[in-house]
Amino acid sequence: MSKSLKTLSDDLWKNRVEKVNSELFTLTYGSLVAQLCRDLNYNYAEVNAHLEKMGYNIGLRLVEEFFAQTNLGRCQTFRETAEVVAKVGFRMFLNVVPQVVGVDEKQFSLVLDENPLAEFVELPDDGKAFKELWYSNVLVGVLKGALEMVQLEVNAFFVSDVLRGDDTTELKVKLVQVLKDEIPVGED
Amino acid sequence: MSYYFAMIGTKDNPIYELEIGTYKQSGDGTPKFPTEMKELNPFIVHSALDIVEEVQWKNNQLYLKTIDSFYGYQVSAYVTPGNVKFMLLHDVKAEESIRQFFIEINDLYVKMLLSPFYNFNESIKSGSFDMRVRLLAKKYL
Amino acid sequence: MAIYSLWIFDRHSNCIYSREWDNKSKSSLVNVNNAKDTAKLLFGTIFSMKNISQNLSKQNKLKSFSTLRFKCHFKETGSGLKFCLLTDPELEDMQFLLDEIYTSCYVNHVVKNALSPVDFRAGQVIGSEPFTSDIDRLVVTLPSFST
Repeated sequence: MSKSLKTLSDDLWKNRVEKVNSELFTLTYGSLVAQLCRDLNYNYAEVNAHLEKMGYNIGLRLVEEFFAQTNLGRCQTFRETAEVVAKVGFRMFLNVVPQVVGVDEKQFSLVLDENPLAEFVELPDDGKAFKELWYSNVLVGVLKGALEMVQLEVNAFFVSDVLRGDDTTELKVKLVQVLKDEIPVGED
Repeated sequence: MSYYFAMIGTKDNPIYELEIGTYKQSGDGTPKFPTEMKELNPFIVHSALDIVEEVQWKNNQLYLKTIDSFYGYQVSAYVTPGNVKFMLLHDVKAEESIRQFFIEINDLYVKMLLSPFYNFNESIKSGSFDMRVRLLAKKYL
Repeated sequence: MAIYSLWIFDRHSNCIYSREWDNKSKSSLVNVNNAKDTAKLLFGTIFSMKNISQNLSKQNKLKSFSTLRFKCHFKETGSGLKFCLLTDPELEDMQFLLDEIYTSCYVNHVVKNALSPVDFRAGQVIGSEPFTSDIDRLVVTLPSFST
């Protein structure tokens, strides 16, 4: 399974995916976060929330692009979801493959060795950012949005970030519930 | 041998400064400026800015070499394309290694500019920038 | 042989798009019958057919089923969108057309259009005209469209 996922994502990356200059991408995201910080008066909790909301809306869309390009169906288990998110999803949109650790039927963690969003970034030295800002929080939203579209309600959050001086950048995803496929009201 | 390095923004505002000694010839990296010199350093560099502004339009090089001197001390300058000036006060002539030093500082500075939280002409407070400049000084000066 | 109509249902089981081609009157109907019984019955049928096929075997997938006068071609995406094409029963497999409608029309005009919703509320439909004209271009040019 994992072998074929790699072949699939290699092929997608080489032949299907549209690419964009990485510095343009990094700087665009960077100025977005910096502007949010200024607009919200360096209230980092709120910045995190905004980034997550944006990510959520991106996730709702990305998942369709994902299915259109990959032709994959729904995953059978949450473990499989973790593999597909890391090996195909991240590869396709960010060209990185995070390590999947601590995986079971209810949760998994993604450890990002490389984070294209955060290249060149140094957090502001105001004594708060290192404790409060999750710079790449948009990813949290993307995962929530995308997984919700496949009927998985999850809770996602960063637990560490190298930008804050941690050793790793780790994003945890916890399964809240598998949503039921909806049926129209009154048609039982 | 001792060095005084300063980066000057486009409004003649200092954005970074560092006093450092050499590690070559069994130096330990601490600057050995005489006390009266220590206080004068910023002024010598600042007065050299006028000369930089004159020289920078006379050729298309970024590295302007030694442009001024003051009682045995020399001032070398480098102007980035964005018109930020790197000034180095030094007491021995070492044109080539200073050139290397400036070029690599420029690389560091560009990376700093790419950080979304750093604004142009703002003083650089980043600890990692400071550390990297010191490493470069150790390597080249 | 002929292609009659296209229906798209979202994951909340609402009909978000319908397109009916009428060869005789040359009229084009877009999003006219979304709330009508036809749409609801069609959804109900697909829903049941899907469950039956899955009950028969776990890996089973509903692709099409036919009646005396109609054939229903069906595709469901991982995100729960259901595409359903009604044609003459003589027609060959139309999966390629449903794939194309999803990957080029839906993804390009709905998903990549940042101002269009992607998670539809009840009663919301895909109103984009370029979407309809792209679908028409795909469908009408097929040899099997009208004979």
